[in-house]
Amino acid sequence: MLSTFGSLNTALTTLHAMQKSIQTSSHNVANASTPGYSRQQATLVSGTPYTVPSTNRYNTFGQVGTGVNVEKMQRFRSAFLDSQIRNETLREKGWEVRQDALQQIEVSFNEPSDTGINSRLSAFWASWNNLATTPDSAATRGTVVESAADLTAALRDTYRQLEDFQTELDDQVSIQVESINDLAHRIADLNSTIRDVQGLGQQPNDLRDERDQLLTELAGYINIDAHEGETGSVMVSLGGKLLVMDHEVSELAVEPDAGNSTLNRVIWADTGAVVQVAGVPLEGGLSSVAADRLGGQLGGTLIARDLIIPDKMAILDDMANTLISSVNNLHQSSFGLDGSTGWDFFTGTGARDIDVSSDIKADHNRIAASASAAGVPGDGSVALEIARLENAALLNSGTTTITDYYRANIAKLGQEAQQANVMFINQELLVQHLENRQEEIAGVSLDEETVNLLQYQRTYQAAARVMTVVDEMLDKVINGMGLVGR
Amino acid sequence: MRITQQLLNQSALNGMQTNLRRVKTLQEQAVTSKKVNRPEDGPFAVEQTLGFRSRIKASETARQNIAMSQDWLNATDKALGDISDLLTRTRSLALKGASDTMGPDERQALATETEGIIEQAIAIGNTRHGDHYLFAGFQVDTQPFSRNPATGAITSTTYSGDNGQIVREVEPGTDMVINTPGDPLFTDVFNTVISLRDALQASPFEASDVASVAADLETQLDNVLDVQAATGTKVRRLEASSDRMEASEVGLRELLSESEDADMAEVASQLNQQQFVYQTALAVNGQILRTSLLDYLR
Repeated sequence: MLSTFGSLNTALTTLHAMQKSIQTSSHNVANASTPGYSRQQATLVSGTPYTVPSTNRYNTFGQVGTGVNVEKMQRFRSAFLDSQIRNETLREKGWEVRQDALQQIEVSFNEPSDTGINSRLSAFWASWNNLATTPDSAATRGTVVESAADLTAALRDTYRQLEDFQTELDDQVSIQVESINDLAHRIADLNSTIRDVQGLGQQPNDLRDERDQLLTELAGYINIDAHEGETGSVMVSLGGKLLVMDHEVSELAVEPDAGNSTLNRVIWADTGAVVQVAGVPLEGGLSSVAADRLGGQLGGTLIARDLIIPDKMAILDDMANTLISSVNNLHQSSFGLDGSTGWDFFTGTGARDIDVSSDIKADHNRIAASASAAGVPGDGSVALEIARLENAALLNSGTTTITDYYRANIAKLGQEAQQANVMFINQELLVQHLENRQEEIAGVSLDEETVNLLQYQRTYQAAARVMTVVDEMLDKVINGMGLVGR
Repeated sequence: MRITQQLLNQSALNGMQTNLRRVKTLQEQAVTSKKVNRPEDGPFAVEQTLGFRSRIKASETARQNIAMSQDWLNATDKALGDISDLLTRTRSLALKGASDTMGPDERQALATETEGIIEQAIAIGNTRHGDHYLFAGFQVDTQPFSRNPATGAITSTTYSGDNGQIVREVEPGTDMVINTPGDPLFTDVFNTVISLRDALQASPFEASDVASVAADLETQLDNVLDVQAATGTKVRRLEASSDRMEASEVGLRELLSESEDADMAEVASQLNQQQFVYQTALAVNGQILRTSLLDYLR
């Protein structure tokens, strides 16, 4: 025999389930444009069917439904896509930093232009050529000093800009390590909350969204491994050592690396050991092959700081040193307009401090254009020899002129920047593509939610109508029946 | 494939970003009129561009220097021409003086004229080009010839220059001596003319002495003409190499322009096209992104 109020209860479960569904839809709509939000849905299951008790089972009909229940709040998201997104984000961020760095270096070199090192080198050689023609002209001597000062200033400025940029990147390393620690702490905090909620048999969907976001953000800095344990906690490891374990964090720190001009290296705060990522220790002495295995902002920053910039500094140093030694070599043994000899034309030990010697600046007549004291003032043969250094193969073991060396390296810089651009754009597209695929699964479709709401609303209305029907039946039974004896 | 609003928005944004990036590249080319604005725009083109610029600068400098050398040689040529004119005149004086029909007074008049020629010749030997003495070797600031004694009849000259050879670059790697040290060329000329004057004034007068000086004058004239011819050859060589450099400079400028200048007509048409694409994207996105199921439900 069925209970009189059975259907009322069935309708009530419907009302509850629809309320919950509408609540979920409303939450979805509210978060339609929240980054990292995953669509949720109340998973509905029919209530446990009920076998009507009977003394004679054969004569009764089968089981009776008991309405609908919300089994769980389902979250739509692909963990596989998330891990792919993290891998590609790691590369994307790494190339982004390298691209930015190379573009900034391009700005420092300022080529092709009329004010770059190339033009100034040309002007410098031209001034010696002019001096060879008029060795006793004060104006020409002035031009030699001026053009040389222009050239050395360009070398020094470019070098200093690179140094400043390197320092900036070094600061970035500390800031990024701070960010990594911060993210690790937030992930650890979420770990404990998620574990607690899950322990209650509930689904901490929104908290998981937040944690997934943080993990992706963390993967943008450095190559991490993330594994979810059975309790719902995520373990994050960095080069085989745990960065986050449950609610605990092993922090990273930086310290000056004596082997790398006291630039920062990244260490574990507790043991002081240098952090290794993909087998690459995060300290000085990066090799370009190993460095390609690094990724993320931190990896990219280290590559820019320890590989790209020193490479460009070395170019400037090579040029400066070659200028200093080759010009001085000729200049020292030659004679100025005042008959003096033995002066250095350039001073300095590299691009950082190359300059026209203050002795020459003080007295332009000391510029040596003549091969002998007797040759003064008409002999400009040494000036001509110095001018001819323009075409002398002085670099790359005597195979390349200074100008060609510079040009080839500017071309190389361009190629590197081009490669970084292409790699970054490709990675960006790849990440976008993966994010779109995740969006297909996890994204909120307003049209879909509208249709669902429509359905939930109508179901709610129908359930309410069922109640009215039962109520009317009961009204008949209670108020309309048994008038006999009244 | 499940499409959400977010997906549509994102792809609209991405598409427009890509579009605008292209517009920006084209705009930069239009504004700078260069297709290569930084090394990454074309590493190879930049390498070439820098090379062309260096070579153009070197060629410009070389041509300036050649022009200066040409001036110097032309001035030398002019001075040598003057000397050879003087020598020709002196030789005719000598031929006149060598005849026995002349009286002592007439010979004295010839001697006086010769004295004037000596002074003129010294003046030519001291010719300046700008601030520089042409015939002083390296000692371009020092007057090369002075007369002895300072006043009265000239008996000899002193050379204060040296025999320094001023070397200039004609073409990359090729040198040319552009000066002519005044000694011995001029000194010999002076001495010959002085000995003519002395022979004319000699008593007793020996016509044969004058005749032998006339023969010496011939030799001197030949020497001067040789040097002048060599100078002329050098001028022509410089002209040729300057012309050649100018021609190759024009070629280099064309190559430079080819490797770095943007084709403005093409940039303008591409920019137009890109703008059209951008506007179409805006219009389409505007239509699609606005609509939703909610527009059609009560």
